[in-house]
Amino acid sequence: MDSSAKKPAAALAGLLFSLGAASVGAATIPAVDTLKAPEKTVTLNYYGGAIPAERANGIIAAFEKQYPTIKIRYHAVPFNSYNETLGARFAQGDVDIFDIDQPQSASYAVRGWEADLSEAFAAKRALIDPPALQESTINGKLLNLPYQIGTTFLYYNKKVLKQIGVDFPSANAGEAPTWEWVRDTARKAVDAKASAYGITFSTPDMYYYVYPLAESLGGGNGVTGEQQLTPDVNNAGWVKALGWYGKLYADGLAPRGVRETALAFANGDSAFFYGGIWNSPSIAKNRDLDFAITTAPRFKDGKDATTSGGWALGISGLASEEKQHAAALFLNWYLFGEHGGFIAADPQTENVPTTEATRTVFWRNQTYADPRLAGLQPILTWQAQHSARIRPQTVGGAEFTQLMTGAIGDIINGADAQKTLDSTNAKLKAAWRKYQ
Amino acid sequence: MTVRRSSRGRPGRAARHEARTAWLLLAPALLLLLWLRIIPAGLAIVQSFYTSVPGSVLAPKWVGWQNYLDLFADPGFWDAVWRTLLFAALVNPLTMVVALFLAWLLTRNLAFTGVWRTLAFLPTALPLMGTTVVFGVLMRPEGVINSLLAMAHLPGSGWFTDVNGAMAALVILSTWTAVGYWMIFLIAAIRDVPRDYYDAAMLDGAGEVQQFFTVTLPLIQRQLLFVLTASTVWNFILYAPVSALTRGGPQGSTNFLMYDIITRYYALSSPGSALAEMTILFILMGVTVWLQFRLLSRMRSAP
Amino acid sequence: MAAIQALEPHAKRALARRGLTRRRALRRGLATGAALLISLLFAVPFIWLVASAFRPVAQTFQASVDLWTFIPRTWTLENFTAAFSKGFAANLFNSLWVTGVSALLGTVLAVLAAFPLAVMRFPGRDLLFVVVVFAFMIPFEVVALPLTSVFNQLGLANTLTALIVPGLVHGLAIFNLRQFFLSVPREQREAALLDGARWWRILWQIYLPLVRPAVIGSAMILAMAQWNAWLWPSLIITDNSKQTGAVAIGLQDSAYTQNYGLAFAEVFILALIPALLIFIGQRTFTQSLSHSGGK
Repeated sequence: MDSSAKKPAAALAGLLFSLGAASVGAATIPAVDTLKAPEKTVTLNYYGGAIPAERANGIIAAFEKQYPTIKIRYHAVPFNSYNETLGARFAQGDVDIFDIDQPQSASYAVRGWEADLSEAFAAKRALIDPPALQESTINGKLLNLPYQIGTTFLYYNKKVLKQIGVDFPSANAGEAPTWEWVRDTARKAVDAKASAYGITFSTPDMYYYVYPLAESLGGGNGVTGEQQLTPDVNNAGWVKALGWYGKLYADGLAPRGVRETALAFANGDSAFFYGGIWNSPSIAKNRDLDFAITTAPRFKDGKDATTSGGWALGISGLASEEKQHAAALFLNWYLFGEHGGFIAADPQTENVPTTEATRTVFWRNQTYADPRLAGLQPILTWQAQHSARIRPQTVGGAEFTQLMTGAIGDIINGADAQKTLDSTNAKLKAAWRKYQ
Repeated sequence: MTVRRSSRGRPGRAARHEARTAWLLLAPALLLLLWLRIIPAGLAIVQSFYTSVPGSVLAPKWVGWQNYLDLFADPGFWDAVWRTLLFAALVNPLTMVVALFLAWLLTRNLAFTGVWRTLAFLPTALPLMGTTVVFGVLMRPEGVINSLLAMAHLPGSGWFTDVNGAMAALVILSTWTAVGYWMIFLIAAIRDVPRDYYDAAMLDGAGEVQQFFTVTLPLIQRQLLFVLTASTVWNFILYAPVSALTRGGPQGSTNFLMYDIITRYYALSSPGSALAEMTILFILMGVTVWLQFRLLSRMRSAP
Repeated sequence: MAAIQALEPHAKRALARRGLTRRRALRRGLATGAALLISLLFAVPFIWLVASAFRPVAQTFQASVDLWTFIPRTWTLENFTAAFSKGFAANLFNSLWVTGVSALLGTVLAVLAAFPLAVMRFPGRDLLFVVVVFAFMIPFEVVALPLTSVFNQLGLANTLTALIVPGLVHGLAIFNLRQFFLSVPREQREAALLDGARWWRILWQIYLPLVRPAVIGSAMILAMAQWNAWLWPSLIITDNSKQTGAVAIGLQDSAYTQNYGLAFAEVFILALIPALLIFIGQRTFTQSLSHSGGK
């Protein structure tokens, strides 16, 4: 965390206050260690989008064993339309706990959805990774509890690279290949028909997988300004990065219209896969796939840039005090519970948790002992310390997600990068006017 | 036994009783009309004059016609209107023609008629989201549909990834889904045409195809128009495939009004603007249905 | 020529009849062939869906397209077991329940509305007909957004009632029934009135039996609309267990995993029920919309 984030954060808080966000003035939840389990049964609604419902229910079952008077009902929210559907749920008014994609923290705050967790977890702050805390803290207020923080890197198919006679990239953390090398190798693979696709990205039109390209070329993360409400997605870095990205698809190196890209790599249909640790279970499931991993690439003349941030849990600012306290107990157990909280209850957890204790349990998972994933931990640690860039912390997060996804999708399907980004920039300005 | 005094018009008390009973029978439908159409439409119109940040504790702000003016000044809105109308102009005639052809074909003297009709109806039996998922996979650039087209030496398309192909793909999806349903209505209509007309035409030496155009078509035109109206309104509110497959793209080529409204409401958090657009859609649909009904009332129907 | 002319008249007729029969058989064969071809075209996505439901999802997403695209290499029920372990049975039940109740109550409503609009006479009837059918021809999805706040305030959000109510009225169903009521000869009504019959009896004992096919038809229209409804349930239902089958398909989409195989199995199950019904009842359904059918 650097001090350059302090000034926008202060202005952000002022903005939240002037927009009347409920969370800024609401009653805060007391320190979670002083809270006791309710005497009468309380039922909470948990809206989530990170993991499938069966696994969430498994985690909840473990929690309910410890706290029999708190019942939690989990409801899956389709990830494809997460913001819209979550908005519809809040309009119904029965949300108590919900999953938050960290960059949306400010955006949800301005809608009054997040209860202030500063006091509740004041004693436990120190246990959480600082980078994770940073994205969940808006002007010193902890608005949600980050439980997972991961990053992306490069998977490559060894069989395909062998077939076209290309040397494997370095296995040492920090020695990143260049995007230019990746593209050239992908070209060779497709031309030699060694694989159907040259490279696939985990979710092709998601901002999360694309902004490192722009950051590497110095384009920033797309939002600037004191109030973090000045869009800047059409600067030189962004246009060059997304133009390069779109060309991958235009040249046939990456497939248009394919969404289950991890599966494609697992089937051996792609030479490279740019994804995260959460893709490794499905990829490693194929015992016959000869693959390995390396540090996330950067542009030859650019900087190292990798993704950061992850999922957090929030407590609804609109829920009753009784429910908020019960929810706080759930959050507390989730991350700080005995034997590793949610990790112990969900052996299939596929992203790195945010405390030392839970991480220890996480790395014991045999999936990550797979020799093909050698070097995983060093890579994640190096990237977190050297190249992680945080995503914009703007109150206009919902509009940003919607418009950027559309722009990236259009560029993938052949639209001109400059034109598309210019028009997206203008649309963002218009959409954010109401916050200014 | 009471003897009526005149054959024309009934005595006042009986007529009032009839009117009262009629209104009583209509009461549930009218109540639902109020609840499910008038009240929400009214609410939408009222809310369209405000602007707000969702969930904020500040009250919504009155802006009068500003939402509408902003909408009319937004080229994206006009694009959405144009796209919606273009889609309607493409998909509805196509659906009608195919449904009519199938209805005609499957009322010929065939073997296993029941089987063909069921197969034609199968697409309607699929929930729309299911159709969406299936077509989303089948219509990929290297997907099954393009491969089959290539095998038949026909040109493929980018379908949902292509600026022009996306609209075409949605037209195909909608047609495939709805054709079987409308076909059933048209089969019924065709079977309603009395044999005598066909016999007369046959005596005049008309072949089967000619009979269709001179006898069948004119006599089912009322039902045909009615089915066309129903199909039009259904296509105006098409949402699931747009939301799941194209998100209004590529480059806004499938940004239909319904999708634009929901996006504005939730993702872009502008409920006032969204409801203004919704009011406009409501009016647009009303006008369309009205026009088609006017046409309907002027047509001859099968005896 | 001379040989034919030399035949007896009845033999001549027999010969002509055989030729006609052969031509008719040929036409019938051609038409059946066309029907087969077109039906297969229609069925292609469906065949693929069935295949995908019964095989491991990895096989469905192979990059190559060949015969195995339409026939599973490995048959498995894992998608179905996954669907039901996720609670799909509840969603299926909700769909069946909501559709059934909507069709039943909605048909009653349509009858109650269509009868006065067709058979009874009272001032403002024609205008009212236009208003009613017109208003209900506009699908309620158009007003879905403000409708959610209406239902919210009535405390009906996230209930099965909220799913049923908007599906109770359908412009097509009312219009269709009214057409049938209109086609019953006026004399029936006049005779009954002369006998001093009450309106309820006229409707129940005289008209309803005559329009029974249309009642079935209206039920089918309402049922299909509810079975496939998507936008409204996704907005008004927050509880996954109260959700209908059609929307539950999309609930397998989470950030880290998307299980398409599950979706295929669920789509297949949801398509099976109406498909079976139509196969059994397509003749009835067609007749139910036809005025001359069933008579």
